Amino acid sequence: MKKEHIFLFLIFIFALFTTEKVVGQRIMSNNFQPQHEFRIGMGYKPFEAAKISFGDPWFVFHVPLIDFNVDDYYSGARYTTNAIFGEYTYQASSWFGIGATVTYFSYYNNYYDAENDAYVGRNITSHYSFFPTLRFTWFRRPAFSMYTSFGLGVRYVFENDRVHNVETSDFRESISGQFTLLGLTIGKKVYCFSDISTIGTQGTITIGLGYRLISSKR
Amino acid sequence: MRTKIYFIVSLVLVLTSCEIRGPEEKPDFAIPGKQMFGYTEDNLNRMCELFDITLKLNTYIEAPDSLKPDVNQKYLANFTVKSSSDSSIWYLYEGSWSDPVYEVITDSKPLTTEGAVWLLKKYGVDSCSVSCLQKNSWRFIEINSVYYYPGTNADLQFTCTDTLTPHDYYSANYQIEGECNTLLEDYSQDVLIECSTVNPLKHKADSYYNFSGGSLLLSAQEDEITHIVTAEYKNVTDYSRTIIMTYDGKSKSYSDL
Repeated sequence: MKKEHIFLFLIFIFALFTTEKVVGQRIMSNNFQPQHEFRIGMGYKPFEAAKISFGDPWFVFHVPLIDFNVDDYYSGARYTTNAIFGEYTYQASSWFGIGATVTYFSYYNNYYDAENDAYVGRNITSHYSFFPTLRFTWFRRPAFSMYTSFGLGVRYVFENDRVHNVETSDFRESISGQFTLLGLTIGKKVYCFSDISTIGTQGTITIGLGYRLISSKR
Repeated sequence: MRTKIYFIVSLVLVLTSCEIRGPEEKPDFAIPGKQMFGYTEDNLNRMCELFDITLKLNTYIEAPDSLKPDVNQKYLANFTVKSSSDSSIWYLYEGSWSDPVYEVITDSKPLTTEGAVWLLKKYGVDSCSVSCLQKNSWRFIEINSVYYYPGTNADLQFTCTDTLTPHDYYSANYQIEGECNTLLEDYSQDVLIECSTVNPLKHKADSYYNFSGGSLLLSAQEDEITHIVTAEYKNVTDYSRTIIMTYDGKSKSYSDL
């Protein structure tokens, strides 16, 4: 684990701890009981799946006399599993929560022979993300709430590529995160949620189920 | 239990999947072979033209003086023919071009005589030796091409396939066998294409394509990998042909190139 990851993790733990002690106690006077929230959900089309193109290069540097680097295979359609995520949030006050999210999704496609269309291999790229999350609930009713949230963290990417029985693997790290302008929850203890105006690792819209557990700490 | 979990997880992932990009366009895996064939065919066509010019000039030289203007008009209409004082060197001028396009050095024997050896130079491009093996068969050796195809060389045998000796070379058909190499060079890539005929090339006179059929075996090396191409082709009509290209063991058919 890299230094910056450890640093992020420590900030998260520190924030969790201090929120519990300081903010949580202040909330008590408002009759809000701190809660632990657990969520599982799905997100549609992770951010990377969006096509961002700057067009074809306008200048070709060199065209070889004979282009020997022509593939004898081609990629079939590429798919994403979409994001599947789990989330924990400590709802310290009626408006403030802090937590963490783990997300998994992958991209995959098959390769086919250019001569006879036979299957010759596949590519699977799995993304594992972890990021601390801050949630600001700005509208709250007993069975309905609206919030804004964001998180930023790390991502581990494992890519496995196999063509004609030649297998290559790659591991890389990058950032992950999610920004939600508008998220909704409907329900009390068990509730549904949807981030309907969101973008990031989890996608451009999410849905899922959550469970609230009243914190025993006072 | 583990298998079931794996199955369920896989099922969920598949069910939640969606397409983010359609299939790629299928690549033409035989493009390198196609390019190798194209350069080789250019080279062979060029040699056919040189051979053709040589035979036409031979007809001109052998014609009586009274018929020379007619032969010139029929076979070498675009050229002005001149010769050295001893008639051993012949020049073909095109238009107002100050230098001869072709220079042909004869050994004073007609090119249709067994043992005759002529030397043909195309201005700025080729130096070829043509020798008569027998009445209807010639050996054509291209050497010292220094400009357009540096290092190109060839050793081809042209054999007339007409029943009678073709006095009218304009409509003569040949079969061509042998080998030729084409060296391509630019600032970033040097490729030597080695070509040999598997089945003789069937040259068809006065056709859109020079060759009506035949097959070639080509090879080229890049980064210590030798790429092999076999190209078997035939003319469907005078204006269309099919070529079955096998590049590194995989075949593709083209209706034309």
